[in-house]
Amino acid sequence: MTRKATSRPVIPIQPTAGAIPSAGDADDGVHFVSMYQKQPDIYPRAVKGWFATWRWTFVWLTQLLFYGMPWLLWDGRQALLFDLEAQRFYILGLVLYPQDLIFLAALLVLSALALFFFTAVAGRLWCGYTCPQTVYTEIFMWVERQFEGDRIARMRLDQAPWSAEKVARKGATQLAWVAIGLFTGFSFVGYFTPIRELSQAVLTVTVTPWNAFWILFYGAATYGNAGYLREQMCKYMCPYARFQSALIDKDSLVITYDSARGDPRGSRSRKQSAAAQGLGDCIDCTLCVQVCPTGIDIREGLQNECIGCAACIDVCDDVMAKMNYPKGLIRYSTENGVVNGWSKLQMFKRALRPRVLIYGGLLSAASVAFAASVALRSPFQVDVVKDRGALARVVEDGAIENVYRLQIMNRTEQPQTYRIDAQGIPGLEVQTEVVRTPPAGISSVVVSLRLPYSAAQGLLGQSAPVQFEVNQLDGTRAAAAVQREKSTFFVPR
Amino acid sequence: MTFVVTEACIRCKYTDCVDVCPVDAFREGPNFLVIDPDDCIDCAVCVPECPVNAIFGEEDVPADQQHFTALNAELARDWKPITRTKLALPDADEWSRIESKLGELKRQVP
Repeated sequence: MTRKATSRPVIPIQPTAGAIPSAGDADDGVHFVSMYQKQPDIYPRAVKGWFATWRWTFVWLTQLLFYGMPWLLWDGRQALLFDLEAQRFYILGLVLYPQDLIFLAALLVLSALALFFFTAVAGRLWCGYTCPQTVYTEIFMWVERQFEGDRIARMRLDQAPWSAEKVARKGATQLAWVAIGLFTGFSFVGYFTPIRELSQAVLTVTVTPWNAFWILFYGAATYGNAGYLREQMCKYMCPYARFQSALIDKDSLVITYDSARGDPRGSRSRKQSAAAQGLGDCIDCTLCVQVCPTGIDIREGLQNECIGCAACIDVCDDVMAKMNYPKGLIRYSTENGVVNGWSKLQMFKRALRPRVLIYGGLLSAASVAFAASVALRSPFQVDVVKDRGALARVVEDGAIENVYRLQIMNRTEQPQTYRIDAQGIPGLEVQTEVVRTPPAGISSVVVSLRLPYSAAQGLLGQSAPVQFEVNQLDGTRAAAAVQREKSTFFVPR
Repeated sequence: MTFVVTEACIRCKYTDCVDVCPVDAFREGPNFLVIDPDDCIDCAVCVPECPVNAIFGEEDVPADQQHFTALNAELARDWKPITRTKLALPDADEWSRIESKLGELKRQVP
């Protein structure tokens, strides 16, 4: 099938080796290229330095958080538990219901704003330091290095024929990858199933089929993404790389090669100055390419493949030090900064430009609003549904009765008692007065409102607004919190 | 750290490595090349160029080649820099198949 496809003339996006017309097909000006190119293997070289330290700091922080959080306790229960079956989401002191989905939406909006803000200021900080794809790739590459060695050793090993040593090295890497993948899957499922019970179940091989499926699923995803897909995830699947061009401008800090200083590149003797040899400061050692996890050459300028990990900065600074050249041939800088030769202070001043201020302002306002709405959330919620079966009925002594269903959601982790009052029409009586709910539970009660015959006479055939007032009672029966819900009271002719 | 030229280079001296070295760290003897550890910046660009896989990173030098690390440093002091590729020794291909040839090393400066 592929053969058929390649027999049609296609115009390549970039000229490839296959696109050079050979003598045979030059006569009609049509030539054939394969649009499929195999992903070249990338063997990133290990790197040490200031930014590498920061990257590892974030690996530790994010992973301690991710693996540790499910084990944290809060008032005797798991501090972070998303119980899908019971539809309760416990986040530290909060109990959220599916009805609180708005908080999740708000959190996503906050994340998006934070991404906009940080990208406008300093490019792909998220990708380079904290994105799980980067973090797990970093961990998996570290494992790989322990068993298979650094860049050149790995390249040699891959080219070598299979031997006992190669099997042992590759096998150990695979084993460690699978172990990390499974533990990650287990920890992830531990956010949805109490992790202490889950670990017991795992140890006794009594995991429920769904939990087992999800552990294996997320384990496999971790293994595949961090072990094999790696930079292809960033290059071909992640949308962020594609829309970052809309988020950055000429004053955003990005990883930049200073071509004015570096070019012309070339090998040189260390005994003479670069200028005397007619060269720039780039010695063309290609270390920046060797350490790049996405396999690009940063010297070609900002590319959407660049995840901003700054590995090339670290390694180039090392080389500059060895050459006795000033550091920073590759550095965090802005386009304006490089073109105009601005100082750090000048670039910093441009950091406070309208785009950043607007993103920052929106982010702070949304954060404050989010924090306030979480803090000021009522400890319970009331829904009132008027009985649709019978609008109204006449009971003893000609009194009029309407029936409602009240649903009270207890958002605390203690059993609660609520008192129900109703207002709106003089003489209105509530038949059910006190409702109890279990901790983090929902009570659904039928409540009748009754209007005496005399009070109803003025409202015949009308629908009058009423208001339910539900008070949460503390131990002394005083009202601790109140919720009001509107409804209507119908009086028949 | 530095990179080290090992036994495989002796009596071959293909010199493919020399052209790519960004810091001109190679030194030439009569029938062997060495890397000056003071100049080497560990970029490893020379490693894949060597047709006989003679170059290793200092920490990856095979166990039976360890003495070449000191030998590189020692010879680099006397030998002259080489910065352009030239023709390999005439019988290089035959010698490339021979493993143990340290005895063939000529030390004197040409």
